[in-house]
Amino acid sequence: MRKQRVENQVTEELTHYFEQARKLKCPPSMKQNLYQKIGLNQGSNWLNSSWFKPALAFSFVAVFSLGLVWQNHSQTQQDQLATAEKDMQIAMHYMQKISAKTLQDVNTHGIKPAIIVPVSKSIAQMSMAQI
Amino acid sequence: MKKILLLTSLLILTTQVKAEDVMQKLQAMIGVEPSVEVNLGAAMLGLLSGMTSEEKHVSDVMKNLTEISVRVYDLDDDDFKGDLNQIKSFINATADEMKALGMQQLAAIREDDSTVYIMAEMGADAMQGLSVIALDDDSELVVIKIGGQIMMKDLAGLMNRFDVDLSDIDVDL
Repeated sequence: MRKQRVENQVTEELTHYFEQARKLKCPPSMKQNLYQKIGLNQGSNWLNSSWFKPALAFSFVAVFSLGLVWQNHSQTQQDQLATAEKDMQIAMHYMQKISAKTLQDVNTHGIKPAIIVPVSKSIAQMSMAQI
Repeated sequence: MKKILLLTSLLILTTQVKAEDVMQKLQAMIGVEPSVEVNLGAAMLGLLSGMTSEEKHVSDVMKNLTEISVRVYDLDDDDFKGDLNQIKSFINATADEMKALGMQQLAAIREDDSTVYIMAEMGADAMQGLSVIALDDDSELVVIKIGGQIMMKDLAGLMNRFDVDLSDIDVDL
């Protein structure tokens, strides 16, 4: 009778102990060790794999470098464009200057040469105004 | 067919060489570096055409251009030791040669102190190129070459679009 009571008490205490133990959370390091001991590789998560961090660093450097190269290329193109526009303005300035020069002579068709461009200019302006 | 292609290529090559020759010969004769030198090739003109894509007319005109070259020589410069009469004769002879090559003289001025020639290389329905040689007031020589398909009214449109007050531009004129 007494032996049975002791066994029941031991059973209750053990049940209580394991219930309490089950409620406790296992620390991650312990969990990791346990997984390793029983042969379950928790490292199958690619976030923890050995290549992930170097690959991430490399990707970051590559993207950053590409960004720099692209920005540099874009800046160079903008500079080239600005220079080209300035060159075009200079070229057209001299064209304007020559075509607007006051002339006294007439050309082989009996027309004052300077008239050619101003007339075509006004035609161009008229056609642009119509658009 | 082969002969026609060969002749066309030869003619284009001859004209291009001619334009380069004129600039080189003038440079050698004047003996000073140009005060303004502009070289816009097809690539840069294409870029500019893209930039002006919102202005469709200007963009279309620029697409058809292959080259714009400008040389301006300051003959008032102390370094200039050339002979003005020799330069005038060269300009007149060059204009005659261009006419002999089939280019059309759109305008010519022969005054005591000014010699100007505007020569056009004509195609079937548009100009294929324009060359301008202008010796103004015996003090400034301007040589301009515009290559590509262009019409006079288009050129005027370009002049309107790009001619600005050059005092706003940081360039030594």
